[in-house]
Amino acid sequence: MGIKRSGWIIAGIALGLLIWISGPAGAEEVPAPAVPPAEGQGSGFAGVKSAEYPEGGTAAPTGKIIEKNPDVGEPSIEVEILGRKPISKDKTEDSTQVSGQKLRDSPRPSTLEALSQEAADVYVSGRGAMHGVSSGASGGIHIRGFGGSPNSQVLMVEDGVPDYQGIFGHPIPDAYVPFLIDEVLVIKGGDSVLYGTNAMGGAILIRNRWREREGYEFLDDSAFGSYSTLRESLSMLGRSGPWDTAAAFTALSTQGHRKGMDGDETIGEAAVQYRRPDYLLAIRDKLVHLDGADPGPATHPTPDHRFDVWRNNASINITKDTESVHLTAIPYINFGVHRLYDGFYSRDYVGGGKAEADWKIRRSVEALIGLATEQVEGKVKNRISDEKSPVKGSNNTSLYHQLSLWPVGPITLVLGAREFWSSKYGFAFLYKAGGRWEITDGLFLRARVARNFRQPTIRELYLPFPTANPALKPEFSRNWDFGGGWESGRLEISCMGYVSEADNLIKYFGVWPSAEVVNIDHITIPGVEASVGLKRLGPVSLFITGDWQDIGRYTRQNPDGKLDFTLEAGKDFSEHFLGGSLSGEWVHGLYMADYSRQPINDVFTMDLAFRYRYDLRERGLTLEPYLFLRNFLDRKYAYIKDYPMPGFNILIGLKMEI
Amino acid sequence: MKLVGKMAAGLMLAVLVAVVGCGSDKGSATVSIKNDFNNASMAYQPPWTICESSYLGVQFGKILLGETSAEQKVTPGLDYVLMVASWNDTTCAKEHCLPLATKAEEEVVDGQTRTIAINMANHQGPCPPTGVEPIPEAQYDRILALWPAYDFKSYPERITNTQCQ
Repeated sequence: MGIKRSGWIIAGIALGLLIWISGPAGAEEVPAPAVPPAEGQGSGFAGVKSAEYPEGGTAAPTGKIIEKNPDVGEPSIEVEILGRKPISKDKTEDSTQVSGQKLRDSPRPSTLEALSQEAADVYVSGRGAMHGVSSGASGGIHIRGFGGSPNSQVLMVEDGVPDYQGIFGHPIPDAYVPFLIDEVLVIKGGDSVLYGTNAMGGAILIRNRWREREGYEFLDDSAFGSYSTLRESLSMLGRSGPWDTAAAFTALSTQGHRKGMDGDETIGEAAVQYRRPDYLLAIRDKLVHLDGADPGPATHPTPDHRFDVWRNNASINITKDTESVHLTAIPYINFGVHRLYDGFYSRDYVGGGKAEADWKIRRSVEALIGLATEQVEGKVKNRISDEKSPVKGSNNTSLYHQLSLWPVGPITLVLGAREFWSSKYGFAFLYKAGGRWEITDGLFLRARVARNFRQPTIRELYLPFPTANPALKPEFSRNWDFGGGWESGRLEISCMGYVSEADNLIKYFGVWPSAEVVNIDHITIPGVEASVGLKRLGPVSLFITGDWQDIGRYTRQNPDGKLDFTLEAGKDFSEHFLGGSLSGEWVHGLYMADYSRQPINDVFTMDLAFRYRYDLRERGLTLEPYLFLRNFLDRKYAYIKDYPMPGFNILIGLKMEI
Repeated sequence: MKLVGKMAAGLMLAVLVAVVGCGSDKGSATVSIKNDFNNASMAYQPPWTICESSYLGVQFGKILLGETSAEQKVTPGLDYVLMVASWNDTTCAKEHCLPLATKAEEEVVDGQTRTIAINMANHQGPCPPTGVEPIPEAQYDRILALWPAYDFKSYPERITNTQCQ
């Protein structure tokens, strides 16, 4: 089925690459000045700490700083800073930052599962190669007790654009592939002040890559593995004068480890950016197609429960810089068509825009003010009976603002608020306050409280699956977290306590035809998360992260504890590199239902990854064969009851970078 | 710097106190039970009179077809609604009665007011398959313990109850 299609695609791409490789070597790259990479803690633009900013300089988003000659007003020194504005806008939030490279190297089957490996307070369920949609889907994200399936309490934000499906309010977990990702920031405790609805338990910010020097680079990653799995990814980044281009194509086809787990995933993404010293215009479009099935429980398989999903995300990013103000405007539209085996058919869109000004008032005061508006619409019908479900869209507008203060060197304070107005349910007020104290170099304490929310979805308001209530209001959370850590060249250690509270939860009671969905209840989930990282101990690095929480009665797919570890080793031998990793995950206290009912055995699985890289510098080519040995202990385990995960399986691949 | 240190320590302490102060008690919910066996949207309307009913340890009494019991306060939680129901007999004569329970555990939470409707789709009983799921032994035995006066047969002999014949 999909294998044939993917086979042709792979053959075509391989042929193209062969022609490219056999030709003359690519254009020589202009050597870049040695500058440190952008770090998330910088408070100025382009990842440069505010103290490093020259007075009177201009910071273009690309990182070019022009120091003017005060006498003649002409540029006299031009220093190019490679790096971009930090992805984090709130220095007091608790977050985990993961590089795109780490995600690309991960043996975990999806981007979300690779993220879960890096932070124990992030739990992502799985069922095999693909997560799927609708009944039996996995990929629900839990952060500190909030989230789940459908996952509408954790917000995905890609290049500043909120990404969720209009009818059900959740992201599509298979839609994130790492080949264009620059970095990902997982904000624990949410941030509805800056990101709006659904950032209730957390927000996952994805920033995509652009090339930072003149020239072009191509990356091809072809892999084949168990269960006739074929994966082909081709990405391209380019910079020519003021123009940047980025494109990626990914195709995955698998027969799956059991009947009904077969499927195809095709993702294409293209972006172009026009840069000037003081402004920038970027246009990006991503098209996703998923074709798969809900295999059903192993005891009652349903391989004919198929789905077919098309989604498209398009956005324009306009940025303008002045001496002290960074302006951004992002209009976007996210639309999709979902077809399910039972006749369900939906079309939905989430469209909107936001305008944001980041104003450095003084060296110690930075203000951010934004205006956002969004429209959510959908149409639902049964393709078999042609019966249409009456649904209504809604629109909302909000004003948000954040003040970052550095009253004295080691202290950062952040205050923020959002005034949100919806045509459906009126006004909501959200706030946050946080502090971070850099006690000594590397040692810090921090605390933060944030009130976040999630608006009811079209499904909850109007669709009888199993019931609806048009009078529903948003649910609110208040998340506290506090703790500290120490970071040095070789050691990173941190410990955070947190309390996730929620009110006005949207909850279903009973079964059809007497089911009801109402706003009710208050929950409190205390927990603690800690991590230890030992870096560059010779060729070896070790990272361990653990989380424990008292989840209370809403135990469905919401584990009590989780532990992730990654042991990495790698060594360069001139143009050769040899590396590998051993990673594992243990999940404790998993249940298939609330009130600790239907327990699932603890999950414990380990993966091995090996890679060898050969740098053919004279040809401008890097070859990197790799091997993933997933679940190499061949353990029998499941995140979802009766949806067994694959046993020992392998994936062999080859990366070629030009 | 000293002042700033104190401010930061104060902030941390405030967060800690707020967190420690977060407690939870069980609270209460207000529940009534509706005899919804005559629900017209169902393909079939069995003529059950609910003679006895209990939910989360609180008795709701007799409920005629289409009627709703008085509201009762319960401790929030999750439980089956346990019932004795009489087939086409509002007098609840023993020979017309059978133990019934809801198919799934019903939930109420603190502060909630909920009417639990019992109908064709969401109940289970002891008789041989007639489109109604068989009642599990645990619920059956709880009903026997709650209302011994009905002299129901033991679980292995449940299909020999008079009303099943």
